[in-house]
Amino acid sequence: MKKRLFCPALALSSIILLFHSFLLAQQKEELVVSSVVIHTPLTAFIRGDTLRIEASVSEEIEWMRLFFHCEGLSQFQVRNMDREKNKTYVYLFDTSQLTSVELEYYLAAKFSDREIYFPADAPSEVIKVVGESREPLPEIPPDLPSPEEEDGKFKLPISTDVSLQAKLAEKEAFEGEKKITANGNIRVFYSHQGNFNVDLDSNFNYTNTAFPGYKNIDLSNMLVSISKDNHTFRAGDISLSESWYTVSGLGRRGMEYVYEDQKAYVHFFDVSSQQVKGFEGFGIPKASVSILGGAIGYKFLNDKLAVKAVYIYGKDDPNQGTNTEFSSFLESRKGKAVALMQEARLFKDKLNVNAEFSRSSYDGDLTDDQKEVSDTAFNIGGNYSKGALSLVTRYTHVGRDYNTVGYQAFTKDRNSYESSMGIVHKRLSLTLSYRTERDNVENDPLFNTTKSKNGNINLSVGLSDKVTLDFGYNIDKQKTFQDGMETAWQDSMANEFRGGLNLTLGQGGTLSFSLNNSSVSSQNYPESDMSVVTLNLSGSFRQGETLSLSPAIGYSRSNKKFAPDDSETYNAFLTGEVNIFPQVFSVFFSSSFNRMESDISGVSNIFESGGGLNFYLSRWIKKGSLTFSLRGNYRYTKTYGLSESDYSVMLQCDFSY
Amino acid sequence: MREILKIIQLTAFLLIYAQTLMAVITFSPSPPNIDQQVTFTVTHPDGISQGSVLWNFGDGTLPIWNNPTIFKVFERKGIYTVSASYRTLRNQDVMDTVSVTVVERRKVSFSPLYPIVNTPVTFRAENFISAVVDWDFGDGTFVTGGTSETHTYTSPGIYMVAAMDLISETIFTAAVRVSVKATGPGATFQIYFVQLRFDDGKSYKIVPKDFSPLHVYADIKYEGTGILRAQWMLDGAPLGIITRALPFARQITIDTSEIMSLPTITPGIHEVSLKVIEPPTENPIPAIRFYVALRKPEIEKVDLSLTKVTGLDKTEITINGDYIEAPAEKYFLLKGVVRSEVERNIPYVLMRVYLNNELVDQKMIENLKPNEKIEFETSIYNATPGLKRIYLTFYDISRKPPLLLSVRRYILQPKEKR
Repeated sequence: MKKRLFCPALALSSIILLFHSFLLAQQKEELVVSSVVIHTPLTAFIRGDTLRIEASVSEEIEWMRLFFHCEGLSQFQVRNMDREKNKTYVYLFDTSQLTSVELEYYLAAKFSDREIYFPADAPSEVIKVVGESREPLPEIPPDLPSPEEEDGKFKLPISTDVSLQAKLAEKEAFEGEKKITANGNIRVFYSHQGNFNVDLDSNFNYTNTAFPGYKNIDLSNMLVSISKDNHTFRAGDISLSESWYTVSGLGRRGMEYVYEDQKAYVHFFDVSSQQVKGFEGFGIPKASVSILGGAIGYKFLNDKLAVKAVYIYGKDDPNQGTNTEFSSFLESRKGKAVALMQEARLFKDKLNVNAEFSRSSYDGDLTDDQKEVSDTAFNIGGNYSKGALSLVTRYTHVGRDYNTVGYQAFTKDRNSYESSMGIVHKRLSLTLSYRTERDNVENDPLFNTTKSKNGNINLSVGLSDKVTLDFGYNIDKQKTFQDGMETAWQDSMANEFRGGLNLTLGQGGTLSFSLNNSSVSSQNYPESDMSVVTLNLSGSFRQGETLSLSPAIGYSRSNKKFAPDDSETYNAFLTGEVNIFPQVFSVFFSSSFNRMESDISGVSNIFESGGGLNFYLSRWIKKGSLTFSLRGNYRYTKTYGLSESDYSVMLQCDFSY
Repeated sequence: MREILKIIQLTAFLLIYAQTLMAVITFSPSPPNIDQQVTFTVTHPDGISQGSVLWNFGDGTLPIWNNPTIFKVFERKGIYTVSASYRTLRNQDVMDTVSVTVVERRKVSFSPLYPIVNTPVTFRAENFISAVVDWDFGDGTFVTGGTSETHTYTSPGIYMVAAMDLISETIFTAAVRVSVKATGPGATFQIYFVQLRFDDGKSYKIVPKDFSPLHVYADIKYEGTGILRAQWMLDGAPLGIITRALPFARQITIDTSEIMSLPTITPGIHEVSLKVIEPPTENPIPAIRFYVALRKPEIEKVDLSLTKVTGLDKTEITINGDYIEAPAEKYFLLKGVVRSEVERNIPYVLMRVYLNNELVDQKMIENLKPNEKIEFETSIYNATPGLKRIYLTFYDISRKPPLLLSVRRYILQPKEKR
């Protein structure tokens, strides 16, 4: 069979080879054959079309490849050609990303003992094709430097931002007010890539209107990273996420070492337990606000089984943290926890079974005489996914005294079981979930037991690329028991309906509408029954560099069924900028209105409006960006019958380098 | 001449009426409370006779003749126009008016805000006019005492506490929910902990002008079950309202995304905070700040992800972060996706692929729309063993000079090294 095919092909190729050069010169679509590769060269194409490049061979080969490049490039790109029919190979060549219509290519075929090219002398001889483009292509700038050249240039590893604002006029100055406010940043950065990679990025910020208890100068960001191969050391602002029961999502200042490859994982860390103020926390954190620990993990059985162990120990003092609002009963604390985790990926990753077991020792109040207590937390669950369907189930137990310093606040004393089902098909996404939960896991007769049943439905439907509809419904029913009998003290039914509509309006425009209807009721204590409806409509519109607008309006109505405490809130916000002469002169504005009507507090109105003129002077200075702004603010409030108004006029200068 | 006459007329007018203009009604305290005695005084540079002022308080009571100083108690809150009509010692008839806003500031407050059984609760009669107050603690306990009293409840429940201001015999109430436990699902609905942060966990962020999206997150631990109502505030102005039904004492994170991306139009410093309307909180939530800088964005404006790296023999090649481990003297294929984060159409994006300093491939992506994903494929010949760098660069060449949108760097390391 092979022989029967081979002989005519060889005869044909011999004849055609005689006219080879002539045919190429004519650039006609005629059959050209190298010794054993038969191919019809391209003679023309239109950029944007998908070309079918086809070649056949006279005997079995290992592969056939297409080598090509456009004008301006010396290196060839290579693609595998797919075997389509018996000894015929095809590559569908998408020409829509070509930078030029002048294309050069050749083919290579790997026979059992040799590689054969088409044209035979490739790559010194190639097939040249000149195509056409529907639209004229832009010229590629000839002087674009390579990234390595750019990296080699010296750059001052510092950038600065300065913002100065002077009050020119105001209705009334308040006590201690500063007539000139100053804010600024100095960022110092450095990056070196080589055998060792070194990265430094830090930011010092200054303000003369610091929050009470803060200094004017603050080290707001800091990270030094040194890495080589799989080893990384970082000092500064790092983020810890090791396990659900020990520490997760904790972004703090400290230091860490990580070794990670495809199999093994080793991590040691020492970070502040709080977001600390000023220059505190850099390097080794203070003992009173320090979390230190480590994790070791390894993947077995071709990555199908992964195990990990985590240990953390630390002390925490919420009073040393920043931007925290907490109840008065949150005290300084300390604790340690160890966790073991496993994850098994089975049936080609369709089934994932994972579990975590953790034991903690914790003292939630270092100021009292009570000693630390120990307890256990664990969960086991899995998820199965096949095609559009995914199923998840999980059982969780958190002991009454289990706690960890890795979280600012941790939900403990819970048993829960949850399962969910998700379907994702094209533009539709549906999730159904159910959870039962209870506290007082030790059935302590001194305490009540509250049980909850929770159901959740979420549906997202993409009506088109530009329109998405979201619906959500959540129901939670709680009852409280003492000695197995339902008590009259605490029960509740919470319902929440959510709806949303998101629209993408052409270039850079979005519009979002959301509705939330929540209610909480109680059979035993209907005095606290409450329902709230909230609507929000917001958008973002941009017209090139000329106009940007961000409006938002909102409405919320709260109703307490058996208490004279209803309220309504109206909200409107608009901000925008009109670049009259882009990069030279613009007008900006920002306004908000808020009205709150309450049965108890009465009516309050707040109206605030500001705006001004920006003068961009960057093109007149050699380095950096400079803007002068003349701005004014007006504020009117009428609260409980008392009205006040205030205005101010300011000159602001902003500089960045 | 005509102008001089006008000046003389204006001067005469001012001389005649200036003294009238200086007549004034003052009152204290300001603003007055309901049931609080307010002292009104009218003055005039020419002097006013005692008992010759007709006072009208605008509250429906009849006008009365009295002295230039008079005491008055308003019984309802509202805005009243108070007038004083009188004849000066120079026999000039004058009527002065002043607007008075009468408020009600008296209320009953208590601490802690979320009491538990067998723990003392301190009640305060705030702004009461009388120093002696009759207290009804709602559990059958009655006390006549001062403006601050302490009481302990022995069983859970909702108690209506009443305090009577004895001067006006007006009663003010407050509902106190006393629970068995301070925390857990059975506790009164309350915010136990709130911390604001940006996406990187920090409380300060620098963003370039017109950066989007910028969001602030609030990590919240709550106790009990209830409905959270809160307003995101930007520079002290309300940005939008959010509502959540929060059951069974858990942790949640809310953010500004359901309202809008925080505006970054105005350079300089800006403050974001969360004003919790329901449930009441003991302290306001501290604000966090972001700085809008004029500097050009240093963020990646083209998001690039490599979806697959293979050898030409279709063997998969490992990508470990920024590291690609490929064998020497062989080609390998990079397949990936680019997505524009620029909020406008870009007519022409030039993508270039460099191996160290050598340009190995370039592609022209036309009319790249915001968030549009474009797939690409390129091949690289790893000629020799040794560490090399791969750069994927993206330029907007519709602009002159071309604008560098992003550079993505990978380290190409020999496979044998592992």
